[in-house]
Amino acid sequence: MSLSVPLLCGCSASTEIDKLMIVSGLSIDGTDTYQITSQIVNLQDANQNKLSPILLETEGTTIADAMSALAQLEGQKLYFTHAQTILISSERLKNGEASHLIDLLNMAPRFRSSIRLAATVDSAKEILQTEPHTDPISSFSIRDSLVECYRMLKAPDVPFYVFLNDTLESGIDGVLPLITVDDSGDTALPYVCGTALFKDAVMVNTITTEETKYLLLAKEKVSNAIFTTDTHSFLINTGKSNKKYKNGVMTFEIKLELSLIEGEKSDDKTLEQMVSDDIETGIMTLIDKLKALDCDPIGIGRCIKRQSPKYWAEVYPYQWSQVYSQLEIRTDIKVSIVPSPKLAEKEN
Amino acid sequence: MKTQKITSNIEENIKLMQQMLGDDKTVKLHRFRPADKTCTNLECCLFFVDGMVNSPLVNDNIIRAVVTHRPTVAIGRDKLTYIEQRVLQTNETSQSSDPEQIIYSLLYGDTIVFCDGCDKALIVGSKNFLRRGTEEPPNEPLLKGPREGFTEPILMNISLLRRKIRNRKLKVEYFQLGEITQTTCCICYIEGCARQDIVDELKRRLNAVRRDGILDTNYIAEQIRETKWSPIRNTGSTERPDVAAAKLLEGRIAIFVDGSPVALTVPYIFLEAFQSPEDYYVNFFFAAINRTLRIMGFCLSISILPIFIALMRFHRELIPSQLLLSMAASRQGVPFSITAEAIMLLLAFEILREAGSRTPASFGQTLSVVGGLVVGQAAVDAHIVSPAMLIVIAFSGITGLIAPKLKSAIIWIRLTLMILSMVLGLYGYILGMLWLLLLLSEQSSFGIPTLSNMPVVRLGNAEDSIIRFPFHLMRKRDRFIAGRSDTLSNG
Repeated sequence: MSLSVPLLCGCSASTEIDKLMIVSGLSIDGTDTYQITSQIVNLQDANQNKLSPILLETEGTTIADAMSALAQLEGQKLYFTHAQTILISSERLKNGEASHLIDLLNMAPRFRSSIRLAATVDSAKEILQTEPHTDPISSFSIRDSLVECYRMLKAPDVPFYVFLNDTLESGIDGVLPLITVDDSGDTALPYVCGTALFKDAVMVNTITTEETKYLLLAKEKVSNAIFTTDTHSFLINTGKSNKKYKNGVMTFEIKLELSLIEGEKSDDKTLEQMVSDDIETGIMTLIDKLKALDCDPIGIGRCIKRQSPKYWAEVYPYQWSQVYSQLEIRTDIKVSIVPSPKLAEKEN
Repeated sequence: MKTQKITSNIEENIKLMQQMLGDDKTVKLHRFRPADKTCTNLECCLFFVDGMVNSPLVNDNIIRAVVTHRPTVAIGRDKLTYIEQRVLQTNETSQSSDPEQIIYSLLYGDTIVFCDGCDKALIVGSKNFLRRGTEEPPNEPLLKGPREGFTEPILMNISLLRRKIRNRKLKVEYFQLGEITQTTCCICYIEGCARQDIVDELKRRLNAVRRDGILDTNYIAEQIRETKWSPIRNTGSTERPDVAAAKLLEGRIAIFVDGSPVALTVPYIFLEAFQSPEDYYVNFFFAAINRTLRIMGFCLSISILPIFIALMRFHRELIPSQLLLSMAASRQGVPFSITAEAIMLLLAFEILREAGSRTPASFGQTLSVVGGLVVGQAAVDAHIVSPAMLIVIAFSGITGLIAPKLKSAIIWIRLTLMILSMVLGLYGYILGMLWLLLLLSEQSSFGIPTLSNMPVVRLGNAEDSIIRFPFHLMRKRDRFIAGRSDTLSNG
């Protein structure tokens, strides 16, 4: 019994930390074959207080092929647990690559479920090759950038487990942030340019950062985020999105408490009305576009499923596309603008 | 074999003594008699050990008293009693006809007087050893509080204790231990505070101690404990009279051994290891912080190294990414495995500690500079060890010094947990901690559970456990040790 303890507890899995190749990020490209690029942290330069990335490229007919080729490349064990981002080219995602990726990440216990996923407009490898100023390891920088973009309501922040849930659950479709390379300056840098929309794990279209703002407001609770209109910028103190389905009508109840950051201060009521109109228009326009794509990243179907399960059982899956395209949607947006603490202090 | 006994012939008694003592040059014999010619029947001799007696007392109060004695009344048949009561001017005398007891007293610094015609010897207390003063114990220094400490002579230690507790209920019971050394030992307790069943049990265990010599209290401590193989002690020890007095007031029993400045106290509970006398001499807020730090230091000292090894070898997922990268980077070029590195550094630290404690104070600074800084830095530069491991070992070692009473326990527990973590990872660490908890739960000192007084076991005794409450809230004597919840007189 006692002797079996070391055998059962996985102690044979121990490895010296310096014998590992720490993978910080992955990119998946290719059309017919899979081209996987791994970004590995080069620890040899660490003694000069500098971390630098090494890119290793492999190719295979399946993801598993390419990954096993990667493991043989350097002779050392690849360590994926601290990988921060996986970038997949739009080209692959349009071919339904997301389902393969889900299978891979689900089966490989070495990946964290909080690893960030992103779609790339062009080559995913190009994004990994960029050298951001803030962090020489671009995967880390991209992860930080995605978190920050979510705070600016420019792109969704999608850990793997969220994408997995949204993709596999009926009544909602997954989304991923969309990244491209901005080479307008001296150095090519990754740039978040919108959101990739999915339908049944296949990328169907993209929306801009402006549209993403309304998608996030309609979809989830947001707080401490920055909301901008054409003329003003606000800090969202609290933002609640409540979806109600009653008598065949879907109503979005959105309550926002904002603090004005920038822009001409006017009568609060006028400003509140202006923001409310802006959000209503933005959401309705976005929903029309999503209906046309038969794509539901907001989770309207999930709301109906939870609030009216019998009706959902009747319409899903065969009639749902038709029901969704004809669903009457209303908005009930309540905006309150409170002075920021500094402004309040000044006024007093 | 012929039984040796004291006779009424002084010459035979001298021969007997010389025969028993052999050729011992330190034992001196002096013959004397009264100068008064009318007093011819008081022929005496005395034996004493050179260097162990108070010479003025022997010269003036024994020899001079007999030599200058002029009898005013008739000397009866019991001449020894006459000398004891009418001639000698000393405060401690007794008669004995047992040669073994006479020799024991002689070798303990007493003076033996024989008188011709008496079949007994007079034992005159004349002990006067060379001894050091009552200095502050170097192992229990305080910033605030009494500066005196026990010293080697047992009587002096008892007098220091009596000065603290001037009460007739303070009981002192002497006995001899050690087949050859015949060391004087004593137990002290306050009648009414200490549990009688514990006193009786202690006496029973002391009677069972069989050794040739008892040279220190630890000779007794290891033989009266219940769990012989536990790394955690279950007898307390102190070199401070104030601490011993406080323990006695709590209902404990102190054991003194002649020749040792350390007093043992029983029963002993685990929390005592984190108590310092200073806790009671400073503000209770400060005392509470200090005691909490000691407990945290103990936990960190036994845990930080095993956890570090477990994380680095098995559970790297639990380390934040940036920290993992810097740790991995710090190990670049180190040829040894983490396990070997940990064992080497731990060994080096223990060697430095041991060397530091045996080195004269004047070399201490050199040792710490060379050992700690120069060798440590050189080892890192030479890529023999990684900086992260060096920091962990140093931190583990320093936190271990915060509770010096658990020094040896910390070394063993840390080593055990480290080996378990090396083999089984965090699973092994948890197993090790469970083992420690079971060990502590199972251990007892004279029937008192070692973990008693833990607030998790009983909230009622929390006032002097993990933190010290202010004195006005410390109203009860410990229920486990004193056997009942006596209200203290200051309550």
